[in-house]
Amino acid sequence: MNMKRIVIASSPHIHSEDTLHRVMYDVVIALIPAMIISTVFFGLRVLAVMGIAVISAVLFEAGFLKLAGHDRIRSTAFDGSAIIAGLLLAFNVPPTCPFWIVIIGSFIAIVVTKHTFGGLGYNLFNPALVGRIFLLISFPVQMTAWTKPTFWKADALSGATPLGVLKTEGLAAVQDMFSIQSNFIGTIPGCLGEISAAALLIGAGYLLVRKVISWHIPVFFLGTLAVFTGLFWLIDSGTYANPLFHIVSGGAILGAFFMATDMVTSPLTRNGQMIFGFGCGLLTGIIRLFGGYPEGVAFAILLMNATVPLIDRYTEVKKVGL
Amino acid sequence: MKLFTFPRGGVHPPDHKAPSAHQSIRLLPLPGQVAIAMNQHLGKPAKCLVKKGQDLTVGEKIGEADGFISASVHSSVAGKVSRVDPAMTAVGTWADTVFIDVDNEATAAGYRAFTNQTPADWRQMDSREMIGKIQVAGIVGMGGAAFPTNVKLSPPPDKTIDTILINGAECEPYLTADHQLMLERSADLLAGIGIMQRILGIENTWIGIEANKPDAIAVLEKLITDGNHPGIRVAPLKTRYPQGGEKQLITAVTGRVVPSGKLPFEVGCLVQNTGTAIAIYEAVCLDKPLIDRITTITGFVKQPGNFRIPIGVAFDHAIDSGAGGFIDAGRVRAVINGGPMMGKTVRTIDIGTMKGTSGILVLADTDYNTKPEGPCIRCGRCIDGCPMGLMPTSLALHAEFNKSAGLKDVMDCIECGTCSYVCPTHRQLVHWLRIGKTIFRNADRS
Repeated sequence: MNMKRIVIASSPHIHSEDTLHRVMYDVVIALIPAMIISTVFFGLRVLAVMGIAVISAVLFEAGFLKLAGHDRIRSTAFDGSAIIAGLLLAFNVPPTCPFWIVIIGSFIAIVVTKHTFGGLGYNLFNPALVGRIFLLISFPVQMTAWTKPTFWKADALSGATPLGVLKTEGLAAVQDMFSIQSNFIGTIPGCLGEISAAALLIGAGYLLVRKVISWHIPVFFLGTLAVFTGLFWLIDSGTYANPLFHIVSGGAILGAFFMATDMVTSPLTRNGQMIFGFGCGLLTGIIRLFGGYPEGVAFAILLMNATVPLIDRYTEVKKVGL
Repeated sequence: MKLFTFPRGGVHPPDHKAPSAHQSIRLLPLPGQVAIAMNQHLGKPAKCLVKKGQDLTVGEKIGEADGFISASVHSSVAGKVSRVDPAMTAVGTWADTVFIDVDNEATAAGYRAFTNQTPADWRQMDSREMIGKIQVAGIVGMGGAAFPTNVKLSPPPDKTIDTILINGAECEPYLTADHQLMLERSADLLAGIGIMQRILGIENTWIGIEANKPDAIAVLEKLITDGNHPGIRVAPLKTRYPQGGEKQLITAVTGRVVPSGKLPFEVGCLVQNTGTAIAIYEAVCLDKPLIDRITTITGFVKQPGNFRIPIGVAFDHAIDSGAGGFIDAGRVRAVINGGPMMGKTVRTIDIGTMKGTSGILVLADTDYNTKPEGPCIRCGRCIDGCPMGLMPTSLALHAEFNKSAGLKDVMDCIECGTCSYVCPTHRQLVHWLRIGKTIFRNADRS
């Protein structure tokens, strides 16, 4: 009887349909609404920015794997994780960002942040966010060259982000220039992918339904941010913006649902994830209200990334029967 | 209907039970030879009692229990011993094996003699006599683990058992043998339960059945109301793997939690599989040793079904003569002794079935979807899925790097397979945890 290919293996012998690819491409799908909104508001150039970020990320990934003598280069480079890192990096730069800066960011994200730590699953910090922070510090002019949404019109007008206006000109100026509704829909200057809270929330809902992410990190992140900024707003609503403004402005939604929830760089257990989300929200609030930068989401998540091993150690699940 | 369930973790794989469900139990045509291994059970293998050339009758003892945790082995056929040699068994280890050339007519007559007699009345027997009969009959747990039953029925003197749990969950995908047993042999099942109640001197009994077997629940619920079955209740269980895990079943039905590293009698429970309860009835009332069992043959075979299989019939004979053979032998990727979650792949298919063979599952290339292991992406699904509250990914890493210090929880793993099943990067977590158990045991010993 021809049974040459019979397998001797350890149980279980069946597997759920879930694969790494499915998890990763679900994230890509969830980013599509924000990609569409960004293209509509800022024009076709953002497609080029995203394309260059993704292509360079995949090429850096494949190149590194080749140098490292990896044996499954094609499937690993296209497992979706490099695509997500590239996309999220693009989401975190201004729409006018020069292409060469995007490529540098891609290199920092994939090679320095991800692969020097061992590649997928082993990196301590969120690759896209390290890329963003590196670019922000290295190229402050290009990385803060904000423009107003043009809606396909050719002439891009420069303008400041709501959080930037809040930092430099105060609450009254923000209230004159932006409404909560415009922040929610995304008709504001800002990073390529962060402007539309609505589009991001649609994607976030998809990830929650598909169980790719759980509610713990986003709810504690945004909840803490709201409580923290809300306290100051209650004390002095003439100086401090209201909590809703803080949630729909800047990278809070993008960070809470798409970056802080990155599985590799967030805690393993639910309790740990709640602590992590709390820390992200608190640090974001502190940086926004009292720090030198108008926006603190990226710094907050990276700082909390560093605490993940410690959080993991103290939040192990309780075994049954103790 | 209130459904009982365990509180933590678990998963619900597609159950694939339809092909063999409600197929009435069929007899296998006898093979020319059977191979009966001495390690049919957990614990020490039995000592072989027979020699080449010896004539055997159906039910004759061929292996003597060796030590406290061991079980006797009996000939499942009448015939002549052709040889006694160490051989590979269906659980993947080598053991002394008795190869018997089958005498068809004498074998059929031997089985008829067991079934045609008037069953003895267990209500007239005392506890010691019944335990003795169970021990002599070599009864072991038939859900797959094959733990000697008489040991389970004899708790240490300082422990009292107040609840009997009959495990009819059959939570493994594909398998339907217990389901069919509950439908076809419900009276014998209740008699087996009565015997256990009498042995332990208690009445409180639950029969746990997953809700995907509503007909079995209905049949038993009807039968237990006739007044002759005091204390027996049916507990419909949520269809969720591993609902039939011993510790999960106890918590689901009674709310009690078996302490880490302890056995069910610590919380006053005794868990027995439905097939075991029927074997107990046959041993006590018919003096029939454990020489055959009901096994589901399913998967990539032409006629899936439930079969009464004499112990020691080869897998290939069972598949060919019972289930009509493979659909396409060239596409068979794995033949499994047991279910897909906890069963073991067999190395060759010409080896004998065993007392613990609850299923013979054939998986084709399209069913066998395990991929090469990837890195852990720390998604935490294994942690959410673990019914024992362990952190499989952390334990697996400790095993991978041979660090015994971080492995103290690994002994609580029941190897249900949920973590490996849900892992998106196909990490062989259960496998690493098994290796972790060895690392921990060795470190503990030195």
